[in-house]
Amino acid sequence: MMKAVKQPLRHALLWGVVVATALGLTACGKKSNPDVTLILSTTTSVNDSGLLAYLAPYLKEEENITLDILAQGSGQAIKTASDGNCDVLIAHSPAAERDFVDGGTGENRQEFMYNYFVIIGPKDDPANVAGSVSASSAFTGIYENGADFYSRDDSSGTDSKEKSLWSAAGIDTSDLPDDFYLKTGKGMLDTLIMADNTGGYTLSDKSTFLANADKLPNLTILYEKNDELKNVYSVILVNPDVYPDLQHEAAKRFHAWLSLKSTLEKIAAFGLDTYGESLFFVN
Amino acid sequence: MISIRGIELRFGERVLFRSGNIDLTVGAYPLIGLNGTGKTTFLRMLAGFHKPASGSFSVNGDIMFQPQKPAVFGMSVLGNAMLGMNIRDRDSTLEVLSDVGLAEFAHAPARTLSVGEQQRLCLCRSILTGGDVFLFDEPFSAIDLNSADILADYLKSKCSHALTILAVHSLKTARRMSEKCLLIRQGELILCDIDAAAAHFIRSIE
Amino acid sequence: MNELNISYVVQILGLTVCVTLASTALSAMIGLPLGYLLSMSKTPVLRRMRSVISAMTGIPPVVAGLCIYFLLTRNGPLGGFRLLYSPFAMVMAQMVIVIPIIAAVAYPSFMKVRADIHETCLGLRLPKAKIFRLLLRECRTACVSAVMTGFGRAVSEVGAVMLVGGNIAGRTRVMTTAVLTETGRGNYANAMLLGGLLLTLSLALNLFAGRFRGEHD
Repeated sequence: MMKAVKQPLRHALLWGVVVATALGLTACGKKSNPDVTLILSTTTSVNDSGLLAYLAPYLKEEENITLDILAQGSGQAIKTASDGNCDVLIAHSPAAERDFVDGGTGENRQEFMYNYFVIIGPKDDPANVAGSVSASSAFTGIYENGADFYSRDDSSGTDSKEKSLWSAAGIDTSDLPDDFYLKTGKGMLDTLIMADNTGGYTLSDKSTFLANADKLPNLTILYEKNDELKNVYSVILVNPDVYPDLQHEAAKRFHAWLSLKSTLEKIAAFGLDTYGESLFFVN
Repeated sequence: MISIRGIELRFGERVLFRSGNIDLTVGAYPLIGLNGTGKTTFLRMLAGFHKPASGSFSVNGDIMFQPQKPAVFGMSVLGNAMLGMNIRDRDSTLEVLSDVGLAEFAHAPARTLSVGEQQRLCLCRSILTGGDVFLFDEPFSAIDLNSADILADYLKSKCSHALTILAVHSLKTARRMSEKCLLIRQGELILCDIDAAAAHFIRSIE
Repeated sequence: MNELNISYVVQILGLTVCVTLASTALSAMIGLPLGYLLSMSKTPVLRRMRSVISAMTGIPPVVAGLCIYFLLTRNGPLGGFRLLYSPFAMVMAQMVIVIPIIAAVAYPSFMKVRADIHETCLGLRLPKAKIFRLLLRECRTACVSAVMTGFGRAVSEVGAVMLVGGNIAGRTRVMTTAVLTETGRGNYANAMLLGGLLLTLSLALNLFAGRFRGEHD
């Protein structure tokens, strides 16, 4: 038993040490290196593709910039930028991005890479998607065949593209019956897993499928590389007049760096080793 | 040092007792009455925890109040005993503890003592805290009668400079302490001789 | 992206410990005195405050996170301090959730012990500061329980810290949000590993705290 007099003091000291250490260490959570750390707001699919991790060492070496990646849903990522809570934005929802720029908060929207959504479906392909002439006609074919179609229905970039394809096919998704047009409300991987379970069709970004193909044994890529399926990625800056105290100088350097020929070559090479094909294309 | 002017003491709606004018000076005053007559409430009133329904009273000097179930804290016997002391003097504390037979337990956790031993500890604590007015509410309730008598003598000697009121059950103990006592009988608080009190209570208390 | 490396896990574990200890310690420094205040008397004012604090323990954590988000966002009242998406923001969100919990768990014990020792302490003419210290000491078990309950809530928090921290790798990613990241990528084995580590951490700290509980009746 500790002495009655000393005990409260010991406890106070213990708490004091704990708090001081904890606060000190959380402060050290912020990087205290001389290089710049930018907060990049982007989507979970960009982050999960691994592209940013692959580019990080080159960015560090050439521009002395490190990225703190804030990966959120599409809508949230753009909102973060328009609220001034990040230094730079990479997104792939052209319509929402144009609103962001037209509203005056975003500027210098620069498309720097693209890839394609793919139509994923069961290996036996009952709706003959593989033989379609266009993505929208593939959708018509799936509808006429009646096989399950899984939609993310979460306002993500993929979901917006999917809804626009139904529209191009002249089909109103609200007319589609619930036992055909299955709304998962979930992310890409979860939706793919559900499609794999029942042998259904869905629209996906290619990298999520490739990275998880081993978990999706019943599915395969049936249709790709059609202009209707193009998915364009842009880097956008935040207007310094609206939010002056962001790291605009470094953000501009990052923006410029992404468009360098050497950087674009690296982006085009990403994925060749692992998947035998590029995940992203550049002009 | 205590003067009481015509108080009426209630517990909620129930009238406990009334009094006339009573003046008390230095000395020991046993407080005698059947259970439920208001001994505890009266002591709590003097200590400042309860207001009389009417009348007034005044107490001059520092009050040392020991309630009916005094709290014993989770420290050593010595630590508990020294709790109320302004200047913590181990030697005089150990002396008092030894006077009541608790010296061997000085460093033991106070909560490991028996109820009777804890009451002795509280007695020491109150004595060591000191004061001009001592108020004890049944300080010997868990102690056998013979030991209670010895402790009563001890208490009287240690508090001889002060005004001490003790609520007690035993008339025998009361008689050892004083010739005069405070008596609550038939809704009235009076100061009277012990023998007069005894005449009313022989069957009830002993 | 599918493999966890040691330095990544250690960094996340370290940040989890720091953020949770900081928020628990700060919440205790506010919550325990608050619990003491709430126990002081039976006046109607305090009774109402006790009800309010008890009700606040039911705040859905993600709502607390939203409130802190709106406080710290650039356009918000504290936006100028640039605290959003930092460990400080996570500590703040956790504190909003944990302070009421610590106060609400502690005050019933404070009230009971207070009732037990109040008259004895005043009868001994003890100064107020000493009475407060005695109360804390006598309520040691309850205080430790309150703080450990608060800690448990803080370490398991995921929604609020995701919102205000942003789950940025290397900066605001903690064990709970890392588990979400791994499940989101389909790496359930990694998620289980992280979850297991989190559980071990929590159990270890609870055992450690058990040593501070006094042996009271």
